[in-house]
Amino acid sequence: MQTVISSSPDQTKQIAAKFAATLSGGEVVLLEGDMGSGKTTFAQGLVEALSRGEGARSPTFTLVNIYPVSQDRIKQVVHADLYRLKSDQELAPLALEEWLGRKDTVVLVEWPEIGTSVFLDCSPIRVHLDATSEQERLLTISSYA
Amino acid sequence: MRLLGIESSCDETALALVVKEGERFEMEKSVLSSQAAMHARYGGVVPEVAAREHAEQVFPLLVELGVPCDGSGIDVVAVTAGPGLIPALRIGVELGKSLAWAWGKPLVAVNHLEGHIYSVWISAPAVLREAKGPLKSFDVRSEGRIPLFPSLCLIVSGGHTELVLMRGHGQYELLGRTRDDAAGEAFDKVAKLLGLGYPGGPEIARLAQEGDAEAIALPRPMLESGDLDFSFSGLKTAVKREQAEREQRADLAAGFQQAVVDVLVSKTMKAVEQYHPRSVILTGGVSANRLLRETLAHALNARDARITFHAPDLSLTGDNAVMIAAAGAMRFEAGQICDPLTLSADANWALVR
Ligand SMILES: Nc1ncnc2c1ncn2[C@@H]1O[C@H](COP(=O)(O)OP(=O)(O)OP(=O)(O)O)[C@@H](O)[C@H]1O
Ligand SMILES: [Mg+2]
Repeated sequence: MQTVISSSPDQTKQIAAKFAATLSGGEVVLLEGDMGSGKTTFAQGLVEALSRGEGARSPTFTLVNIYPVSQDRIKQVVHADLYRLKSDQELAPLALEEWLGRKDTVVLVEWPEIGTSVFLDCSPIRVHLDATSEQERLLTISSYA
Repeated sequence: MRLLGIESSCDETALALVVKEGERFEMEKSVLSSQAAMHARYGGVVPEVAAREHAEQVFPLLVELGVPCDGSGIDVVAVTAGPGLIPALRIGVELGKSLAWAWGKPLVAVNHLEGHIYSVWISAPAVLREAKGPLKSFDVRSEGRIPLFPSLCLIVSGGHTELVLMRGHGQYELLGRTRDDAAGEAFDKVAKLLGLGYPGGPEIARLAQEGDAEAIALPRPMLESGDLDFSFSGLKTAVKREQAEREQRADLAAGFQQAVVDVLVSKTMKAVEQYHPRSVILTGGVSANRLLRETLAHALNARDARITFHAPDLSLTGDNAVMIAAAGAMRFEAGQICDPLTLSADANWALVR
């Protein structure tokens, strides 16, 4: 387990970029934390670090955003958001299983709680964000044990 | 020309029949999977869940629409091929391909955002009359006017916030977009924070009427950014912070709505100054917001009364297949017909490549 304090959105993105450098493809990253804690901000930092294209946007309405990556191993980041889902039965239409565990894909999931049972099989990495003040966020990165 | 429109890019499955005669579009019939009547007739299912399970809805919708089995009377099949959620898009795309192939009718692929733009071409575009007095006098009037090019389009919905310059049919230039949350998403999340129902847009607008928009200072994100991009996540966070400290929900709703409208309108007006459009189109789910329509109409009128303002009929602001058929007619006339054997959905289909 690793904890780190961020004192600005940019710093959260930098932390995400460093985290991105440790990824090799096939990872599933669960982004946990309250509304406005910085899950999308973290995803933006991670996607910016991996791809040179456009930045990540909130997938709350679109449900799943796919960002192409041109790296040796990682070919895309799949950014999902389960905020609008009311039960795990609604997961199926998202077809996330097409991406989970694929060696050329990193899957990021905001509001993952509803689908935890599905993600547990993929030994996900957990990134928890906690807003400790207006500008400060406590990030906890751990494996899901 | 009579078109069958098919839309299934996100939550809604929708079909529509639209007739185009000369420059005029007429909506013949439109059916949505979320419609209460549909659920009552074909089994009571929870709309939000079911709407994304598009497959089961296709046949009841076809029956409801009254499409003849042999496709007689239909000249073109138009289907949303992106952007959107792939499993959802596939349902509509495969349906469109099957019908076009079986009927031997031309198939056209439509971009979902382009569909929203074309919603203002239907049944005489709505033109906002000068709004006088209290909000009740709000009046969207059809004057049979069609947007002249270049046209500046502000597309605002749950999943999108985009400023697009349209130089002609099918010719788009992306001027700006949100970098994080879409405007409609911000409405829904703030509604949740304030303990209001879903969808959040109408709920906030209603509560805002009882509040004072100036009582609580909220930020106007990206107003001075120098570009035409938007950002709404900071506004969500600001409301959350303020709400933890005070009880004035109506003031927060009013202040939030005003902040969103201010940012959308001022960026649109910046684009008007830079690109000198002859018309402005406001479309997408958030275009139903009365304050947004009025404020933008007033700002345009004050800037140059010759710029026409167009917004869809309120029944066409959300996702629907009528707009897809309308955009499809234009694509068909431009000769952009697809092969029903090879068309595939594209989750990231950008309006501008
Ligand atoms: N240190 C920080 N790290 C990240 N974001 C911060 C920080 N300080 C302030 N913020 C602000 O907090 C907000 C985080 O919003 P963001 O949309 O990333 O949160 P989220 O967790 O994805 O929310 P949601 O639950 O709506 O998806 C932004 O407005 C950002 O500017
Ligand atoms: Mg988010």
